[in-house]
Amino acid sequence: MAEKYLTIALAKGRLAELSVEIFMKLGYDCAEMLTKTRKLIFTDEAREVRFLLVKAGDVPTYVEYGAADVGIVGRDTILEEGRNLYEMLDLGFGKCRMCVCGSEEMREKLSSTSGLRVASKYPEIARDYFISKKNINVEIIKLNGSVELAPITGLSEVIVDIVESGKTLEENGLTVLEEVCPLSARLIVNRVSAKMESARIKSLVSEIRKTVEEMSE
Amino acid sequence: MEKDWKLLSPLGVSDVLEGDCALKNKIETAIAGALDSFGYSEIQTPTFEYFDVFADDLSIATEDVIKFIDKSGRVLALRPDYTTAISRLVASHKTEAPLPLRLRYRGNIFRAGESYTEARQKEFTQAGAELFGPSGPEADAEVIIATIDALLRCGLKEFQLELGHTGFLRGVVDGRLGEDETAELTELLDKKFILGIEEFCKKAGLDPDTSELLCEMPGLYGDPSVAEKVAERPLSAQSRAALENLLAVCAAVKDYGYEKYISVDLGLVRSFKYYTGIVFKGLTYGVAFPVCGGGRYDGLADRFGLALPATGTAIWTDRVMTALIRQKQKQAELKIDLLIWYGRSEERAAAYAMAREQREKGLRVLCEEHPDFDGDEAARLRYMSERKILQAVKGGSANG
Repeated sequence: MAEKYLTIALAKGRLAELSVEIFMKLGYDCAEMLTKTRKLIFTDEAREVRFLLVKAGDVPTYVEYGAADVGIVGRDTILEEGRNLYEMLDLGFGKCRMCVCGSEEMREKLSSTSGLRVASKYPEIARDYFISKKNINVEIIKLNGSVELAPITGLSEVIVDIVESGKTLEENGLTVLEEVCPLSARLIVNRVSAKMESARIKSLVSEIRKTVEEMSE
Repeated sequence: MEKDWKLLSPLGVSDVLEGDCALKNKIETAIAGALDSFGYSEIQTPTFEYFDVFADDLSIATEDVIKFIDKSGRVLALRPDYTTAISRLVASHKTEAPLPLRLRYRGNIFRAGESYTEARQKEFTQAGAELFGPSGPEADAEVIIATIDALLRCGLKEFQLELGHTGFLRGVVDGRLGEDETAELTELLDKKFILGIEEFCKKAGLDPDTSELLCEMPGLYGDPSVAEKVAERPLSAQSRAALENLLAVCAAVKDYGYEKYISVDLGLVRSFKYYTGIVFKGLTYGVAFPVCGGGRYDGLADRFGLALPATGTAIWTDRVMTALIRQKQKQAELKIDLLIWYGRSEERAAAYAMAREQREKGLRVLCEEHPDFDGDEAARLRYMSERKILQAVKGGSANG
């Protein structure tokens, strides 16, 4: 194709801010993304790179379909979306855990309650954990926010959600019962771009890896 | 209002309308022409056959096969994969055939796919070739070269066939992993997820040398020198043999002059379980999925009682079509060369004679009664432009 811009999709919000920091350290012209602007697309003409700001859940979609060559997004989103792509780097920031949470008394009953109801913003992750890994048949209830309310109101027995400090849980009388998996920001790459633009993407990945290592030192 | 199901296609299947259909036919003809020029003869297998043919998960997961039951209660399956079906055909009819046996096919395969991402499409069109008999690198190179030729004839210009070898990974883990562990590792390698591979190696208790190599595997792709470099390291005999075979195939493709279309990826692992040697898939701009794939499957015919080495290729016709459209390399144009019209039925015979003559010359010709065209040129021009008709003449008139 005539157009050879490398397109990078960033998950709107804090992850994008942290990602922009990395790209600025690498000398990319993308400071504009940190200003209050309504633009969703930013171009570094000199380096022929284009940045897109999209909703976190859409980053894997953009990358899978090749609308973006590269994306930065949390592992929670990657697992939930189950898209067909390369997960090339752990960027180390945005660290947290995906956990099964509930009231303390549910700890014992987790495997023995029949018809356990699990509320989550991440129905695929919850289903995979309970049904494929633990081999327990549960009813998954998809929610879009304030998931901690579900056990309190009796909508579900437990929830599967991201835990950072555990404060929100504590304030709502809930506790971590089991850890599903650790989470952090990841660099994902479109399978075709990784090969067709092999040189550019390899050098981008190694640049980012170096910067991330320096930043964490 | 109730949904009118009559007018809808079930999820995962769709109509192909004139423009797309013409382009698809062009692609199929181009592929057939290429494979034909390599001496492959076309065969057809039934659209459905006994599920037993596909039942052992070697090609495609059992739950992804679309099944139904015949009157006697036997389970039938819509063809989910050509390679398995053709291996069966060879074992049924070709046990005495002189080798090498070169067969090609075109037609549709059907897959159910559970998760919504995989279930976007359930019916796919493929065209491909299978080469039975020889087991040397030239055989694998031949199907790869034929595939490149076919893609070029379709009009694709920028694409890459990446080659891997199933023996490389097998040699690295060398029987130290169980089936579940191998499946887990394969998935991690397929996603090029290095961190996950590191964790996996610790959990599986693999030695440092093996772990290091496994963690490097996702990055071992590029031109064939990547494989040459890896061959300099200490390796198991199986991995070394795999690399040598891979390089030999690359060398043969180079001798044909097609080296710019191939690269290697030692981390290319996820393929059908029946593959036993070289594996490959082809990528291009504009489609997120491979436009072709294939490899060596020496044990597959054995399932049907015929020990016969084999290698093959499959081109995903509809993905090639998508790529061509997205790369704007081809626009399907359906034009009518000539409209022969007549005003009264007495003129029909003359018009028909003229149409017959033009059709025999190979033109696309319409022959219709249009009493209104005689005095109304505007109507005739409108009719022609709406139907992309290049030229119109009145039947029996001299200026045809």
